[in-house]
Amino acid sequence: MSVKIHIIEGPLPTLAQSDIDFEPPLGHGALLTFEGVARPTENDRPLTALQYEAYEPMTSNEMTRLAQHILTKHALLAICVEHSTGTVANYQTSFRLRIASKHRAEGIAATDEFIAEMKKNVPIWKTPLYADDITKA
Amino acid sequence: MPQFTIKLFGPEAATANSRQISISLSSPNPTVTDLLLAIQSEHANLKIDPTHHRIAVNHEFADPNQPVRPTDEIALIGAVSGG
Repeated sequence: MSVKIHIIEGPLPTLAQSDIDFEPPLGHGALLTFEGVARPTENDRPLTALQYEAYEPMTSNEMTRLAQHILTKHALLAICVEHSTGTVANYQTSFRLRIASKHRAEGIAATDEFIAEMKKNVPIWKTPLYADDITKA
Repeated sequence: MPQFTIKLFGPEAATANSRQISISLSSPNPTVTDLLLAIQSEHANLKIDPTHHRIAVNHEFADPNQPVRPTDEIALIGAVSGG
């Protein structure tokens, strides 16, 4: 399958722990993995976690549409996208993009474009949970 | 007047302190534009900006001239923040 989309409750498992197969077709010369990780601060304030919200099935539909577009535009071999919903604590992974391409140039360009477009168009929202909000409560 | 329920997410839900708002439209054949204008008028705190806010009808982004019906599932999609 050229495009795989997974919306997962909670943080993403590590690649070693993941049961999501990504077997690119033969012929790939580049295999790129990008992971988005919850930072420990936002606007210089300490965070405990990020809270993600999706609007299904529109989130998966738009993510799939975007992946298909990027796959075709950059002549990629395969794309696999994983994105969290719910709570993701500091340093945990909330987003993973894996791309298989014949050469690195199109894989790198596709990675950047996919992420930029996802951040503009795919219905997912994140809310920072600040450490100092919890201590004030 | 027909009532339209609009789902809210993210910052808009936080601003409204609600997961949905209701709008009444008097036009016999209202469009997405009519809906956005009504939201802008009745919920000024949401600061609707047509360059940043879009309407999804039945889980698809809708064009401004697309008709809307009270039975549609309608969502206000503002700035998203995935990744």
